[in-house]
Amino acid sequence: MIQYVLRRLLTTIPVMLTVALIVFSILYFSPGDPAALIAGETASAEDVARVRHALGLDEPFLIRFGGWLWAVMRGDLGTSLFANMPVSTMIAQRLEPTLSLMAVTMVFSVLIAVPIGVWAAWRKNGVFDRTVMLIAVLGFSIPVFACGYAGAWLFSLKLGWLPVQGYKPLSDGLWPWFRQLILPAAALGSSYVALIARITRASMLETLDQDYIRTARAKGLRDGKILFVHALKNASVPIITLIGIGVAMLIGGAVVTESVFVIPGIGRLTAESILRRDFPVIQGIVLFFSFVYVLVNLLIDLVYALVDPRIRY
Amino acid sequence: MTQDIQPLLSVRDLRVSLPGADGAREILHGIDFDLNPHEILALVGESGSGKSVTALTLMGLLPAGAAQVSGSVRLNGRELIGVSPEEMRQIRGQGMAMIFQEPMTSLNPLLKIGYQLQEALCAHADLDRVTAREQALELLRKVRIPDPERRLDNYPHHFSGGMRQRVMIAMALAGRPRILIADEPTTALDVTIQAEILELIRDLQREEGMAVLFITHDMGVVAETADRTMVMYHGRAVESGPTATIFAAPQAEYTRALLAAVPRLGEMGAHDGPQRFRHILGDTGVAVPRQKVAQGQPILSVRNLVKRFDIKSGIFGRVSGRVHAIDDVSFDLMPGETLALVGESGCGKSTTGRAIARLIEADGGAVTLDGFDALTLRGADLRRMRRSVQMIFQDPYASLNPRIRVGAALCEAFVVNRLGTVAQARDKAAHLLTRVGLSPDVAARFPHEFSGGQRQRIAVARALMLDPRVIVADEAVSALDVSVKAQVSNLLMDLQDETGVGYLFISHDMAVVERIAHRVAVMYSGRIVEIGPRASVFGQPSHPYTQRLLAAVPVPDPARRDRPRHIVPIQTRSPIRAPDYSAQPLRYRQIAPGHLVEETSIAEFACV
Amino acid sequence: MTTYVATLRRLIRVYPGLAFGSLIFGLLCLIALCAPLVAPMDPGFVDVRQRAQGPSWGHLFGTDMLGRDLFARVVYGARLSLSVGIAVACVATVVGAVIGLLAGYNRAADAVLMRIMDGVMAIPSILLAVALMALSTGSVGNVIVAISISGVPRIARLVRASVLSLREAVFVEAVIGGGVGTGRIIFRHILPNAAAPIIVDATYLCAGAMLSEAVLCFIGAGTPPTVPSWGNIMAEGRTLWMVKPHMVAFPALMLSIAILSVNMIGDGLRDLLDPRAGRRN
Repeated sequence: MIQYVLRRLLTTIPVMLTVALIVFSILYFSPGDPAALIAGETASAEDVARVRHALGLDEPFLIRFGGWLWAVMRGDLGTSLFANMPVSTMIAQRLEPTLSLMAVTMVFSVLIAVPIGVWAAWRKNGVFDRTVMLIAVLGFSIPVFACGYAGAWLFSLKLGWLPVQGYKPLSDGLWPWFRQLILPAAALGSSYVALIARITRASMLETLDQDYIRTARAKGLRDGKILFVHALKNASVPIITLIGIGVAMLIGGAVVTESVFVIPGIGRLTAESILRRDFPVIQGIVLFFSFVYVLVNLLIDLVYALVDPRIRY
Repeated sequence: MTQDIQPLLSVRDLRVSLPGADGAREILHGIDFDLNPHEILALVGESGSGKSVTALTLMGLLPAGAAQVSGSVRLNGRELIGVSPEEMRQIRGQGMAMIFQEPMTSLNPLLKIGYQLQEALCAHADLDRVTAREQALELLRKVRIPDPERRLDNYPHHFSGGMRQRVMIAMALAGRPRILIADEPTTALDVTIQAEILELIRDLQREEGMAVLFITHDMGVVAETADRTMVMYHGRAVESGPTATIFAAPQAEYTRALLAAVPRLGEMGAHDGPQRFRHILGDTGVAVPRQKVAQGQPILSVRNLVKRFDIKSGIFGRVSGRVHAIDDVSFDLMPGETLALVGESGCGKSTTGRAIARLIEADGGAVTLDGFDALTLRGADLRRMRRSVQMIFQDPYASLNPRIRVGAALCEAFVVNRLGTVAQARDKAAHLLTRVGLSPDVAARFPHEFSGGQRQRIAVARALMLDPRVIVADEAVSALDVSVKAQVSNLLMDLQDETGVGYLFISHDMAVVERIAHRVAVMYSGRIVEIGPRASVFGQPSHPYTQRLLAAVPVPDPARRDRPRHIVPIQTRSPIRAPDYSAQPLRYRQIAPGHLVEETSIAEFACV
Repeated sequence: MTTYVATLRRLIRVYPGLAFGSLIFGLLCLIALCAPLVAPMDPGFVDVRQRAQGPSWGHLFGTDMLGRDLFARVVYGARLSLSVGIAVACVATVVGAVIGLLAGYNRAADAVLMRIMDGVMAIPSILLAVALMALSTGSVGNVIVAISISGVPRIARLVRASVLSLREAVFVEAVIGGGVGTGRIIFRHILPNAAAPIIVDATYLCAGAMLSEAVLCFIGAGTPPTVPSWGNIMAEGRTLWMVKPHMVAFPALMLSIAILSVNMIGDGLRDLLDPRAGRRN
């Protein structure tokens, strides 16, 4: 088990290096000359050259990459061109809303989607199954914008049940925090729920066809036990995988959701930085989210080992 | 059958329809039988006979809602057709328990053996943890699993196929069932393991006083185990009666044909060379002696062939051991000769065939094939060499590309190798299809339109398209039904007579091998332990492993059921060795002309 | 001829989702192709007197803040959305298939290519596209390239896995044993048998690309506002959406319908092509 964890940790290193290389290249090839920006508009060509040399910007690609990587590993993601602040500080300031949104979305999506998928698979081709799968295709297809605006229009503007926009920090209390997040999380989670419900159903259907399920029935076990102990456990690996892969979808969706609901998180920072062409911030965000994504999937792989004794080598 | 015995299970006019491609299709057309207490009843038939559907119907395991069942099934006088799902659940495991064909997939891979056993125990009785565990332990002892205390906490993947089937049996016994339904319980197992499991089932039947419904396609297994037999064909019972009577004087024509097609190990006696199977279904004819094998230069010569697979472990994938899949294998094959490579799963026989056909690369040794140095060729030379050796595979459903028409599949290699024009290829394909007993018109059809036997004939025709000198037949008839198996075997023998092709016939089926082979090589743990003329090897098996193997083969003759058998369970030798292990040289002793026995490995058996 | 009609009827009966999705998608394509006929008004024509009007007979979907006709803009926006979706599906599938084949057949290439693919996959796809778009100008071609790059690894992995498993398939071994060359084995035996899941995945990629395109335009990293896109129409209407919901409702609705139709085609194709379904005529 420990060996498996170690090996899995080691395999994330090349992945993270590749990610770092790609992200670094994005800044390296970005238009505009940071040296000219820093030297100021009135600077002469020699001044710019001096600044460039002082910053090491005239070094070859790999050396600059090495230097940048070293800085990143010490937590230095560079400085924003617009706000003149360390990028890491900017991300840290915006972290809470985004993490809150994603965590609430994930937890509730899984809690809703998995039972739906299991039930649909158990009563395959029944009314519930057909209805749910139809809704799932819809949920899967309707983009975050549409869900977000439609939900806000109905529940906030017309019915007035929920706040329209904005974010309240957790320090304001659990319920205000949660109440603000209900609509954004629902909009963000609609496709995630649909996706997980679909994979749960498909994976359960495949598992219910296996020989050991027939064995469990031949033993005279009750349906509930067959469904939740024998089938769901075996069906869980693809479900867990998809939950992990779906995090990328949540990250992308968060950018839109935060714009729609005016939540001051990293997603909105992304949109703002795009408009300002603030490349170091964009780079920092991409790197940060990729790191989160890789970590989540690493965790997921470790969960496999808990579920499946065959993985523990 | 006497009148005063009340049958335990009584089935009357059982009809089952299952949904097919176009509406419901009746699979069982009304079958009747009784199962008496303390009796083993065999349901025997080929694929599609409805024997497994019968078992699943009795257990109420058919897909709910989809299957339509009518007729009557009475267990101890209680009608089971139409009971509620909850009542049926209580009967499963307690009234009737079932074990299945595939021990490798029939246990839940994520749950411990102990948990799965306790679950079966608790399904029908209110037990606390400690009692359940004790009883689970008792069950494992009953099915003779060594070291049961430790095994209880193991997962299924720690068990071999035979051991998993024992666990399945233990699980079936958990509810103290009156009836055990065994659906092909030994089909997926090696022959020596099969013998052990059959013995276990017989013993437990006696000890527990159960009745057993034994479902199988293997007439040998029937003869070894069943008190009474019912023969099924296309969803109908064609004949039933005491096993001895059925074997001695079969009434139905189908039973006669089935029995005729079954090879009996030992019936060839000292007869030299292969013999065709007796003709099947209406056709007359007896065994026809076949040509003698040409003497002289071997067409295939294998010397000291070695193949190893690395086992990597640890964080950095260090080689921690090697599987010695083929260890120093040498033999010759003459033109027109059949050399059978026999052994149990994992002995390296298939790997040997694939290494010779260059589907995998050997790690050492030499293979001379039709004058080519077969192991070192590359590129165009390798492709030319490939024409001389063709393979026929076990699974007829997997060996043809589902998206390519039969004609195109046959012609492809011929045309690619520029052996002639496309028109010539088509003519040759048409000729060969006729030769293997199919119409030339089938060239325009896709593989999924054919049965398994027909596909195997197509695979034979494809192999012959290139006029190979050697055909490696890897379990080529093993997956086929008894009657089809006999037909395809006869076809192979006839084609050998006509073309002089040499067969390397890889098989685990000793009875077929006895019919088809000129010479036999017995493999065990990557090595040939005994090789020689068929009559000599089967007549006087001299290596302890060969003796074990032959003794384990079920004999389709109930009269010989009580023959003395010496099947001692042994710890199989693992072919995994340390990376720095160097094998001891093998020493062969000649005990008859051309009959060699390996001596260093005998010691491994002596100590058990 | 009649057999084709019969086959079509059967397909519609057995796979209604596929038929319905194809119908909607076909209609959308038709609308996009004939945009000038469907919406005779110029989507770029600014009419300051008609700013932010609700839907009416004159302006079916109303007008935006500059008084441009929203119906015309949404119809022209379909061109961008659909062409990006289809183009990304094609580009990513072809590039992914080539990479997957190379990786499946060459160990050295496998090590290098799949590491790169892992890296690309580890970057959430919309962020990768955002970052790439931040570097370049907002042309349609750049949008297609930026979205395709994150779609490539998915196809490449799928193709590689199929190649690795099909190379071991018995029927492929039989063909290798016949002395048939590698190229022919790949294109005649492996690719056709691997095609089904690739086609299905390409369909889902198309749907995903349409969404990504809208997201990029929505946050201002896509095409410039002069090229109407469902994403930037919504972005422009965003500030006023509480009082003028039609400005985001219509583009959002169209986007949903377009993605839904493609996903229905994907689901239908998966059922149709799934070998386990065992339904083949």
